[in-house]
Amino acid sequence: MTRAHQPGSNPIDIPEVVPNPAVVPKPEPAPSGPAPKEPVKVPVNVPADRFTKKVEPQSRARHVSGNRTRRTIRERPEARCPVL
Amino acid sequence: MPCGYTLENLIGLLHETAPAKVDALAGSRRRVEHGLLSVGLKVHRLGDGREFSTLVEGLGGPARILQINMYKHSQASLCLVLPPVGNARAAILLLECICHFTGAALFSNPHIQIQVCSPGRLDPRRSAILAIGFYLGSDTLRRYAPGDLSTTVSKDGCFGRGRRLVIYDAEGEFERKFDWWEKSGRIRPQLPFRNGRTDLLAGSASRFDIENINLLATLLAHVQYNGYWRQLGEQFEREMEALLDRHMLAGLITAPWVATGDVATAGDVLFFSALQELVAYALEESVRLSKISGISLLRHAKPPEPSLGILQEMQSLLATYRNEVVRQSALMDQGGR
Repeated sequence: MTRAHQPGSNPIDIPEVVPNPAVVPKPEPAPSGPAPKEPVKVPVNVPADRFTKKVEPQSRARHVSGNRTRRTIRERPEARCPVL
Repeated sequence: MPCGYTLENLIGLLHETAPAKVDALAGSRRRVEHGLLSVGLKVHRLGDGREFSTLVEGLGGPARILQINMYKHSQASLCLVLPPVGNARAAILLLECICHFTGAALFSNPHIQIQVCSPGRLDPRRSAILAIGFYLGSDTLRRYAPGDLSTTVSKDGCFGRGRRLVIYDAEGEFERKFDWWEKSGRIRPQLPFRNGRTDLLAGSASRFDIENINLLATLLAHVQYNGYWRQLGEQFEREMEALLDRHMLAGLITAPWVATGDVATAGDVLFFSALQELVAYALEESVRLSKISGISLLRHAKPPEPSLGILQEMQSLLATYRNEVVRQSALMDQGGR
């Protein structure tokens, strides 16, 4: 028996409890609300001649977009292969 | 149960702190699910209950909300009577909304004692099965002192309720307008009893406890009052008796688990020794199970298959009957009704 007591109040008896080992604890219910939106996959427009067209050397920045990341690469002027 | 306010009053007040939950509650508050019984709750606050003062004031003040009801746990500063709802899920949702409003944890809180109220007075034998099933099926095993079950009407000669886990109503107000599934499968829009409840002092209870009590009370009440779940309830009673018999506890059912008003005080001693026997047996079993899981952790191995003990058997029984109720009620909804 546990006695809980705060100054100025009457002590109260609190029954002891132990977890029932036969019960598998269930996770707390998730907060109810709208489900988060799925990320929308947008197809990248790829030119039909992407494997045949030669890329002229240039030194400007190009942007390559992935599903979630966006990175910037700078082509080297000597690079001759197309960037996919 | 005298409340002094309506569920609509309460919902209106709670809406500002938990609008989504309150909206969900508003939509399901009268719905009876799977033919289970409606659920009423009483919240006893042990010690200082100042976190409830805003709620009580908002509902009309202590004189209207608390003092109209003389009944409470003997160590409680207040007993908040909640209006009954149609199903256990709504009852849990209602408590969660009150948690949001008051900031007080209501589940598994040693300072909050929850009383779960079910319509219909179960006879003494079924009251015993209700209490034993609740105790063994709970996610916490409690040790009791006689004072833990003491209420303001324990020694009242008029009511003669004694100190018990199970307590009958005081023949006051009773909300009848909840669906009742008859044996034939027809649904009537009100409960078949004019009055009467069987309440269980669940103590610091969890959501799981409320669901379990609702299931147990439904099965037992449908046997007693010839409801749709009568056959399933009879089978459950037989399985509970067999379970207690296997563990040499069959005699516990004959103890006075509920005071019927005649010899309450004398029955307190008999009831308490039966409860202590059940508690000792369950705690011993919990130690055995904990040791088994401890050994397996030390050896980093799969735990050995223990012989099923009373606690696991009770869990299995509850799961089986819960699944069966859901399965059969789904068949009814598909047109078998």
